[in-house]
Amino acid sequence: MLEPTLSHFWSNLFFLISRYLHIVCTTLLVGGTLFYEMVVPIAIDELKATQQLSVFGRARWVFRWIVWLSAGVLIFSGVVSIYRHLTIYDIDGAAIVNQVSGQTEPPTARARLAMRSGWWMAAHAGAGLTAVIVALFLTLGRRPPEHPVRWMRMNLVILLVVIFLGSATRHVRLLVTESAAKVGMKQLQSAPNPPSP
Amino acid sequence: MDWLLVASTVSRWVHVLCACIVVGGIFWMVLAPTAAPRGRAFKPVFHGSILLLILTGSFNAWRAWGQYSLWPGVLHGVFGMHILLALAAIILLIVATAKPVPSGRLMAWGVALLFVVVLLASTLKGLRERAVLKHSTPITSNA
Repeated sequence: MLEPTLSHFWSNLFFLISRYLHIVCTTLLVGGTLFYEMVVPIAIDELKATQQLSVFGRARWVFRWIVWLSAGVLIFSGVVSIYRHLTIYDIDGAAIVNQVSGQTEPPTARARLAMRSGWWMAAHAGAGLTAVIVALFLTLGRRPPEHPVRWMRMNLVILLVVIFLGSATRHVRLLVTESAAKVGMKQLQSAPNPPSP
Repeated sequence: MDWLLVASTVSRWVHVLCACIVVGGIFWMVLAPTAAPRGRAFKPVFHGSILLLILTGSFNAWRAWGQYSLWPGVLHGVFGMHILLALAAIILLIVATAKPVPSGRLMAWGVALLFVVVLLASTLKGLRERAVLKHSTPITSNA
């Protein structure tokens, strides 16, 4: 095992801040989408049409900056997280979990697919990118697209799926990491952020 | 199929989702004070999310309790702070949104506390992963 050093401290702090920003930006996107879908239409309901457009336009301007900033931070922190866990994503989890549980039969193709955290991560990243692109599309240009609330509703559903995939990725990754540590895999110790003693 | 593993994944998903709804929703209410008085449409979602946060949080804590005990001095401390601050923020936000015109200042304090709660949750997750790896006993010399 490696000795903890100052560089480990800084890298851990960097990864912690990156993970924190990833969650915070997700909350801003999900909360903002829900807020604009549920609260803003009711809030501007009693106003005249011209006033409604003005309020919606102003709200959209604020939303735009936060969405763009969140999109940038989400992509950056996501790439950092992928880099950090790249070694684990590449491991055939089903074989290792079988080894730990003492099973001699080779894992099925379905188990291999489900226990490779890289696939879950790819699905999470793909769906996440889609949600970010939809959010950017909603805030691009001078005028909002037609049926903005319908678009937001659709994006909210995509975001729910993204969060589920993120949660599943973490579970599979942890299970594989723990199992890999139990069988003493050398790859774990060459990871960007190896476990300290 | 390991149903407890499935339940853990779903529980974590619901916990993160509800946290996103509460933190993000209140953040936007603070940011758009003109719309906040009409935020009653958001209230059932907010209260439902808080209930689910407490339920799933309790389940997640029960599942991870063994891991928290691997490094009790640090993990119990961070976990305790997470729970205490989360409860304080929840009470603050329930009081803030109970009035016909929600209190902007209370909501701002509540959301600031929630950002700290998220930071503690993130720290807890990282520390727990390290504790689990540190205490994993190799069963063979090599894979």
